[in-house]
Amino acid sequence: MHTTDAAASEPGVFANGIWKQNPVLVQVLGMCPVLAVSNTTINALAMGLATASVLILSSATVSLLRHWIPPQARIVTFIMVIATFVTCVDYLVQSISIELHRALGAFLSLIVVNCLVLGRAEAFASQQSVRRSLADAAGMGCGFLFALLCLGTVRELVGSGQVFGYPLLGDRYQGWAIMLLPPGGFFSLAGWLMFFRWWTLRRHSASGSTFQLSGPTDG
Amino acid sequence: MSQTSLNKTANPTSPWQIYLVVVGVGVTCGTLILAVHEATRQRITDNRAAYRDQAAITVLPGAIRVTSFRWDDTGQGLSGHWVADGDRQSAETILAGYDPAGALVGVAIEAAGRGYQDTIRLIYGYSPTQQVILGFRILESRETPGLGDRVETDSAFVDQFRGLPVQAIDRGNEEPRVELGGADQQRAWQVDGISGATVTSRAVARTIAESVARWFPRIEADLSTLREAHL
Amino acid sequence: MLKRTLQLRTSPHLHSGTSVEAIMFHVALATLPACAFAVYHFGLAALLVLSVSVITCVLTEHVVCHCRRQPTTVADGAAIVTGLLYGMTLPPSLPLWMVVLGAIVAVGVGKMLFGGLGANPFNPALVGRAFLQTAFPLAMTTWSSTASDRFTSVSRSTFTWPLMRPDYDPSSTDGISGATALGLWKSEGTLLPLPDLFWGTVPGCVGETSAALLLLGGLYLIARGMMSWRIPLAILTTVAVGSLLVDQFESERRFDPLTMWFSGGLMLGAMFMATDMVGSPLTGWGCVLYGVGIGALVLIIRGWGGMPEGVMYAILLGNAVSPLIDRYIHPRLFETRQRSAAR
Repeated sequence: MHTTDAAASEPGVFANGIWKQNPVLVQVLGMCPVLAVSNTTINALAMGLATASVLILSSATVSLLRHWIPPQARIVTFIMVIATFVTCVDYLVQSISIELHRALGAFLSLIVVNCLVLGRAEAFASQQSVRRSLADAAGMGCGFLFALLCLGTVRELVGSGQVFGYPLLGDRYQGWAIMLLPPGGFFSLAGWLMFFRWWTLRRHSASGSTFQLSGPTDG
Repeated sequence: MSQTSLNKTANPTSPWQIYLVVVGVGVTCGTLILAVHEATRQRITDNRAAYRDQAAITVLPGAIRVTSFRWDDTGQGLSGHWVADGDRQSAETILAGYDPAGALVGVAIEAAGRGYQDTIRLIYGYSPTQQVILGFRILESRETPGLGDRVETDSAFVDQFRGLPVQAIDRGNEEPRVELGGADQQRAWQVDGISGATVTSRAVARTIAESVARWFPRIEADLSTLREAHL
Repeated sequence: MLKRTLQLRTSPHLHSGTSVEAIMFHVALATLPACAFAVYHFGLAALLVLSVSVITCVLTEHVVCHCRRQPTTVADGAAIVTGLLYGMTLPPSLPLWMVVLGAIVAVGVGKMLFGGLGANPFNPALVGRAFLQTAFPLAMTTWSSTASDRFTSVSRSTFTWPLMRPDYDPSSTDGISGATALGLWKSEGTLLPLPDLFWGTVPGCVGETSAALLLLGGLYLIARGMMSWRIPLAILTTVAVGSLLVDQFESERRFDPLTMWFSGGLMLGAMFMATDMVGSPLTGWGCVLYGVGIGALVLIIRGWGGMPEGVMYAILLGNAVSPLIDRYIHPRLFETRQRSAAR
């Protein structure tokens, strides 16, 4: 379990989730929605926001309840809390736009099994104060959203020449259909992982510090 | 686990405490879901209806409002009749579109058929007065981008369905059967496909043909209800 | 590079004398008749596709080696063969920028990313083609006509600006598009005359049309002992037997064994793609099993799949299971009748 340094302040905890422990680009968690719903920018944005809001709400609730939940019943309670918020978010998305709900499909309900959400509840929120849990969940949520947007932008731009439906590359552009299909998710994920790994390595070799890259964790 | 919370060894929790927490959290969660459901229900229903009505209007040129009808199958065979305001979610409902004067433009019907990747759901417009298809729109499909999804964007393919005649075949005592296309087109789905997307384009044509065949007798049987709803 | 390292091996220590360079030279030689015919049949466009693909493959390999700060492996000729085979699987009117992109994927992703020659699980040429097929399904299924001025001019689509949508000549797309032998067979149920299919005077991909010359090239390699004869034999036998069987029960599907053999990419696939030494099993019986599997998949995809042609996916799937085949069918220990022990 890689909980962060206990001394880190709330801004530090928040930044940690976005960058050093980014759930997608460093921890490689929650791959199913990341690969499946990042085919367009708008889907990525909606999915990222939905996941982030479930994460924040459930982390706050778990942190609030942490003194009352007996250890034997913690997983079942966490899942109940998470499932509740997922259901609520599902209703809210439907009330905003049916089309968006259709585009996200089953993956909206499947946030409940996203290991990122349960992982943060178990590893962080169940042991930390509400303020710190909120900072952590917000950081992780933003990190997840950021990574999804990275994938979604590349996939939509290369796949159909658009970003948020706006034809950025002109109407003569030949889209690469493969980027909108499942293989494109793997290609762009691999590309981004490679890019961020290279960038981190380069930055740390430049500053001369010995930095141990945290490898992907299972989840 | 942590030091501050969940102190497991010092104070063993009794089963009752576990039950209490689980039931308490469960009840609270249930209440919350119920509250959100109640709060959003009206908007969701409206959104769904608006989404479908919007789709119906796009396949019924000239229509400005739509009314949903449900087939009430009380009698034997085709002696049922149309009842206004059917459940808009149901597949057994059709949407009749009317122009500003209240005259029937046509009916929009949802249909689904097996495509290349997955089920294709579409809505198409049918004019009972002229007995032609008015056009179609894909509601949901997972066909290959750039290939299968050209059934929506390829104008030559889409245009074939505008004004495609539906022919009733009189077969004596049998229920009236229908076929798409003129008399020279032998098979129901002999609409020119899109090269490279044969499966998808045939699926669209077949889905519409099968759906027309299914609804045609009922629309014919009680056309007056549909026609006079807004006169 | 291999020669410079000290090799520690179990027996046998005798070397057959063939090297990677020699094999690659003879494979390239074996494809030459079919390539020459392609240039005659499709004209300048085929020449452009083939040369662009070979050049891009070689350059990609060189650049990747350079980026990895390794000595370049271009000299072994494998990139040239990959480029030739990849170019042969493309439609002649494919825009050249797509040819370049697919070649980069073929060598860069299909081969070098896995560690270079010998470490790639899939046939690199087919990886490149599969990428293009999925990325640009329309361009990959548009076939140009064989016009009389084919030696002086090329289809408008060939010189499309990079990343732009190709523009096909309105005259040529009309009657010709999608009209490969298998496309016609699948959508209309008509069979093209067998001699045309055998000699290759039909529309199709650059190097796949002439079954006769491909067969000739394959026999040359078999005679030289540079190719497993079991794989093409198993594939072709399975396709023929399978077609006859289907024909028995569903004759209206018109599964004619010879048409099945000579149309589409089956000859090219069976002779040059499936026999790729890296992606095929080690043992004789393993090769037979592999060939039978590929043949059956080809028939299934052609007959019941959404696409008219399935040789590419059949071989890629065959490549994927060939390590598994090697796990269950072990090579015989040298000079014994005993198979090596299971791991």
